[in-house]
Amino acid sequence: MECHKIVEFLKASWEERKQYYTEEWDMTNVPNFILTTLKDREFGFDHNGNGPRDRYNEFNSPQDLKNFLQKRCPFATYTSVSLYENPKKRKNWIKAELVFDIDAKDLPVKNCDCKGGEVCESCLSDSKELLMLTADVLKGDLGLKKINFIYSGRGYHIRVLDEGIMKENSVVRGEILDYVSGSVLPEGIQWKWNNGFPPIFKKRAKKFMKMLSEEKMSEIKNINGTKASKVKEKMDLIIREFENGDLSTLKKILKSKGTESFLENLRMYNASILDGKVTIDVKRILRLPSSLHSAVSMKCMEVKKIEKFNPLKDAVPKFVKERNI
Amino acid sequence: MNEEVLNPFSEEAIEIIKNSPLVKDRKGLSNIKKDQVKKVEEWIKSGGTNTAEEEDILFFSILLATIALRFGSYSKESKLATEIIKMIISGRIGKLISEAHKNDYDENKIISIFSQFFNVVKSNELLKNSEDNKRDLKRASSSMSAENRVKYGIQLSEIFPAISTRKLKLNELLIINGHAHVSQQNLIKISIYKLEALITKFLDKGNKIESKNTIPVLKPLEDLISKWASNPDEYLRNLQKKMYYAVKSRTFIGKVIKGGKALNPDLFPPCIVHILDGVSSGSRNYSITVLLTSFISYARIAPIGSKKNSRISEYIDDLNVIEEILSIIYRAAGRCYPPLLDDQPMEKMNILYHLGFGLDGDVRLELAGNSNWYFPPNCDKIRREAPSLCRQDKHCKRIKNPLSYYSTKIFSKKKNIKNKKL
Repeated sequence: MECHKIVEFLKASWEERKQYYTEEWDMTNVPNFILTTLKDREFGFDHNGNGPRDRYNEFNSPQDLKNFLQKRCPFATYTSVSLYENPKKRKNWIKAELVFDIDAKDLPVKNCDCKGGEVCESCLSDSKELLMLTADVLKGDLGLKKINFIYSGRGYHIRVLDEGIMKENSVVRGEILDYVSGSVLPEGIQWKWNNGFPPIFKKRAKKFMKMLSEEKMSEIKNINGTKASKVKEKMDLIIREFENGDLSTLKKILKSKGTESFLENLRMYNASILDGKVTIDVKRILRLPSSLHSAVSMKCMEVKKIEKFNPLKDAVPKFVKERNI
Repeated sequence: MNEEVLNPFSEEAIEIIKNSPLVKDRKGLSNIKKDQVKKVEEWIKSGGTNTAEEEDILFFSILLATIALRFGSYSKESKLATEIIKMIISGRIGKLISEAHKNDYDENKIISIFSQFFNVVKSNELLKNSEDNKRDLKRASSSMSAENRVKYGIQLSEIFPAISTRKLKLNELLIINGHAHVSQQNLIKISIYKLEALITKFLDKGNKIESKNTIPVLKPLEDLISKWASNPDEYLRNLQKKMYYAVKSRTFIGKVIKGGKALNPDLFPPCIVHILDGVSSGSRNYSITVLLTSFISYARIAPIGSKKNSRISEYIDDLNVIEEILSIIYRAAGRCYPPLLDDQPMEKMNILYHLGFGLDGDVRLELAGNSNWYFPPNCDKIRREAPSLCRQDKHCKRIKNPLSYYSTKIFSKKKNIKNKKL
């Protein structure tokens, strides 16, 4: 598929940043879950595009934050997922949101011509689909309720605020990550459950099977071009069978070794959708929703209606629209 | 709380501690009397039996406080104390479960046993609005033995402490709508892991809070624990033995279950092939009860990488595997002349004893570890005990134990297949 790079991802200039924070930025766009705990969070800033070097900041009121943003117009603004009694020293950790990060530029399989590190409309919509699959697991399996979606500027964050999970440590979060991403093929009961594969693994793997090109497939160990094109031809049937835990057509084409590598690759794709470092870090800072992602000139924002959200319309700052006139 | 203490950190237990003379005034642990320390010592030595509830909780606290204050949470002493407590509690759980099984199997009884750890709800009740889930659940556990059937639901947040020990994986569990659905066997495992997490947390905290100089009276207990910690294996084995007589039933604290490996009789060593064909009077007992029993069980369950002094239940959770092993042994016994079990029916119990199930004569995974699971004897020992069994072939010259004959052949077979394909 051809890439439709509708928005040119250009760096925002100082003037554009200034315009954004004075004319467009509004306190009401900062999510409520951050405003109510503003005092307990650490803030970090990137002033010149070299990364968030300015850390250990705290704000006692939304007004203080506003003043700072309008005066300094930071290149990027971050806030901690964790709450502290003393955020300025990052001391006395109280609890932290459970977060998941999907970066559209790092998707393991792409439907478009984008190379690793590039983003287009197709990458963004694939990320959104994977985001919603992740949220389904969080809701349906783990029974979590306070799930918030953030468009990060070039991907998505999920931020979970259920009390039952916020006090948990990295080990538990790592386990949740493994479970949610479908990146570990479980032993025992779950294999019997749902015809052979755990539902999460299936749902994600299905998505990737649809996306896999012949070329990408032939890069997999034990699969050559001829086999790849046969698989691609029969993909609809293979996916239908896979839903019922049946691999017979796949095995007929790829033989047992090829099938094994194929499944292992699906598992690996699943594992690489989410950036695990972000999930297990209980002191992480993430882009502040409402702030400007200056490297690509996009808004980082809370998304209330994820189904209808289109970043290329909804997350474009005014100054970018004006650029094109 | 008029029941056996299983979780010395439960809310009820903490309430009892709060009202005990231990924490009534600021001096805290310094109020402990010398004779109380003596009693704790006896209590540990007996495997934590015959104690009134209140005293029991107090003893746990004294033991843990001693460890926290004097040795710290990463010491070998703290590891030993954790093992001791895990052992005591799993013994108690095992006893309660076998009592619950004596009469009609009642899920409510099981639920109440674990109530000190979690709020357990029947899976059927949790899933009552989803016929699909219920049907799948039934199908998923239909081929399993009763204790492995998935029947109980626990809220996820209640098992996170167990997850934090890194010994339990979310992926091992069936998770629906915020609940993990587990079997009775899982309940035991998860409770013990949770207990372990709670102990660790206590030791981490306890080490920071109290001053080390307030409790000179604990010195004898400290000395005792230091002595044990210098040779914990021997100490724990003794405790295990004592506990066996005290509670007559134990549960397992297993690792992730692997299920073993299907047998390939083509790769058996000549001595085993000979035994499977039937042996004659004179070497029957040794051949069947000692050599074949140990060989077949290790070959089927853990042909490679098995550790000495391990329990069968650490490797498998399916009793069908034991049935499979026993049927091979019994068939070979029947081919002996005269058939071994006909004139010596007692040997049946002896076989179970060699598999580690003790002398109960019963095959249940909880019993595994009541005796030693015998490792196959080395070849030179076999030649000494039953010279007629040894009929060396080429491969025999390279190995010292019949099991390594089998395991190395498995390996070289794998290699051959690879080489052929290349």
